[in-house]
Amino acid sequence: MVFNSTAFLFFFPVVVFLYFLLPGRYRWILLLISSYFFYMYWKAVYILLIVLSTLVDYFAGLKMAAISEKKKRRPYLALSILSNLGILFTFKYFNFFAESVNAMLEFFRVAYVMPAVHLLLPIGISFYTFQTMSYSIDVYKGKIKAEKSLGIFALYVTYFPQLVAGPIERSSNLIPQLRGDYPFDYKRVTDGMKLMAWGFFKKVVIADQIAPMVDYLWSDPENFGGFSIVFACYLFAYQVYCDFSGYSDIAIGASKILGIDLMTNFRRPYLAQSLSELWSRWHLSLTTWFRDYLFLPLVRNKNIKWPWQYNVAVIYVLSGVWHGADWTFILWGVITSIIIIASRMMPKTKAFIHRLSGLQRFPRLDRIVQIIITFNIFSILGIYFRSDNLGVSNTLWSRLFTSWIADVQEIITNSESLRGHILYLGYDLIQFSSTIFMIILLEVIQVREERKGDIIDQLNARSTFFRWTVYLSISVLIVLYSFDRSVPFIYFQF
Amino acid sequence: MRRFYKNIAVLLLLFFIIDKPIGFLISKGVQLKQFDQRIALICEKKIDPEILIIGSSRALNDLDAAEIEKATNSACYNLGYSGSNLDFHLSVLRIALESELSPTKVLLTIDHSQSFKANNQGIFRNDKLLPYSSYNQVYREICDHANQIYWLGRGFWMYRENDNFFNALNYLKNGQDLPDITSNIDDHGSVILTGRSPKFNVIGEDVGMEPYSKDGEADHLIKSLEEIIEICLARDIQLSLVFPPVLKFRAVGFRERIDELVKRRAEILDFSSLNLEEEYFYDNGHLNKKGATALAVELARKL
Repeated sequence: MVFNSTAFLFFFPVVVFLYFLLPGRYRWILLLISSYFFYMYWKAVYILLIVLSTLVDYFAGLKMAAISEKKKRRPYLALSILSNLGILFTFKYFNFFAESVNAMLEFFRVAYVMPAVHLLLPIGISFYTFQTMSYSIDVYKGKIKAEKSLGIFALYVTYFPQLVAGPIERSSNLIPQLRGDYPFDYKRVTDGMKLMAWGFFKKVVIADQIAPMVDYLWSDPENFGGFSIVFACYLFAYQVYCDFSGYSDIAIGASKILGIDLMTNFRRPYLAQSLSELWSRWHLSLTTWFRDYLFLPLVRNKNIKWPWQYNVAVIYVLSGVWHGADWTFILWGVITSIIIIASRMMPKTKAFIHRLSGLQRFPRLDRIVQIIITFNIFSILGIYFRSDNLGVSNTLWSRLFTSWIADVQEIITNSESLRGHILYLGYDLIQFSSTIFMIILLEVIQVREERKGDIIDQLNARSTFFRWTVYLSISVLIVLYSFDRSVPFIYFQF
Repeated sequence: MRRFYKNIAVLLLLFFIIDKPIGFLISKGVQLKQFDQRIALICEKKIDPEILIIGSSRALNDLDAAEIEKATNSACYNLGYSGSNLDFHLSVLRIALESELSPTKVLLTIDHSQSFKANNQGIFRNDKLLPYSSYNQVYREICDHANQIYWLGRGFWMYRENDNFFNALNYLKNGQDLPDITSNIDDHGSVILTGRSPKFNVIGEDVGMEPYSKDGEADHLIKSLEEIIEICLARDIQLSLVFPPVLKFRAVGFRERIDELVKRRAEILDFSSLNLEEEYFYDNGHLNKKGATALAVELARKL
């Protein structure tokens, strides 16, 4: 089941109603059944993978907890990690691996073809496998106690608000909350509903409206010049942000209604002043996962004497691989890491350029310029993120610096059909203007949130008339924009 | 919790109050935008022909309803839509009958060997129905073929009309659509083409004496034909499947396939081998005015 479906429109209120009807000690059973139903509604058979992952990690956790010596816990940790990575590799990476091996064998003229497996990628596989691995690692390190109740542990793995696209929760945060008995709290429930509405707004009114424009360019990249490519990259940056952060808001809001707090996943990343800062504001549950379970162990491991640059590169390349099984994602990770490493290695050069620009005399302008530069780098790298293969991304890169003057001339001269192609990317003026207006509205709200704190708290402080006007406007816009597009959440593929 | 329920009820009430006017404005805007108003005419029963034509562009362009009316002395109206498939023809028939039209004859044009193929160029023309989703009979057909829930749309107009939102806004900017080759309908619902297409002898490249193959037939299209036949039988409507003339002969054996499916439950009027000169054709697949007039005479004779 997906959040932006009519099925969820009925599923969620029923779950909430029953949840508050039941005594606290039985609520986890309802949530567990609901979570299994939520996942099986998509493709029932893939629940077996989740069951397998749950059982392996549950028993590995119990075994590790029973052993006091850390060294002797290792086989069970290995069992947990190998089974999770095995599932992930088989379903997500095997075909990419086979293709790469076949290409290499062909290069060396070896007459062997590794067969591909024809399996549907289970949605949310990268999320729940990482979540359960974090549990096993934490138990291994003795940071948390192993969960003794199989039911609670199964709920931790499948908790429906965050099952298919995160946030990737740590057991130390989620498991204790799953046992809680939360009375109906008006403020908490309504705040959760507001957050859900805001998430739906980002998904339906912004991301889904941008999607056809981005698809228009990416479906025929040879037919566009640099202006359209850069513009589509900006749009894609907003599409992927509104799509994913929208999903996270819905997940966090839904969970808040049930009384369970999930971790923040986004902190206005496009207001970051450097690429590394952007990544500290983007998909926090994944970036902190990589930090805690990969980067810090690499840094602290006395047997590894790599320079720090290797560790940064490993994190970003693996982050790329996590997003998808293709060379485009690997290249995206490599280039991102190169930019971040270069930026950290050359503070004096950066300071010199900064001095030369004279921007330090205008701190506000300086901040804006840094934000724009960061956003541009992130957006242009989106070429790799959005392209299905290296051929498409190479085409876009090769055309990035072409026909700028001609494109701008066509936009200025009143040629409607060419303007529709170059600037509106297949839309007409009205749809284009409405999409751009919504992006501007989003940015205004984000800047306000950055300066004055949580937007829902700000809204709660306003007059009743203002608040209700906002509630109604958002509801109307969501209904009006939720026409038959069927745009799935981008991060489901991960 | 009482406060929560009260506020939810107030929000729903306010939403319900503004839902109808916004939905109405969208519906009005998008309907005014359409040049081709045939669906509205049948839904409001402003026409009630004895002979009803349904089908794709071969119906729209080849069957001149005015000429057929003149030749048969029976009121005739064309509800053909370019690029539509059998699923859409079935929907149009259902909408017409639910609007209480009472035709005694239905002429359904057959798109030759492509009629049942899954890769048929014809599609379910949801875009032709959407502007009229305010009519329940139309909305039901939309819901059968799109991701909308009928009873939810009955309750909430904005939900029902949300597909038309940008089209309605476009009406404010651009006014009514300009008529084109697919929508410039005459008083009898037909679009009769004049002269010859610049693409004459270019489109329809798959011409030739090829044997018809059942490969690639889509079950839902065959089912739709079956349903059209059943509806007509149940309502005592005489159904005729019309094969309009084509410039070059197509798949051999397709007529036999139709016979096999129809099982004599409908009349088959086959004009595909009618020897018309090139000057009667607009392009390889469609007649021009001269051809449509000639076909109307032949058709009237058989009717």
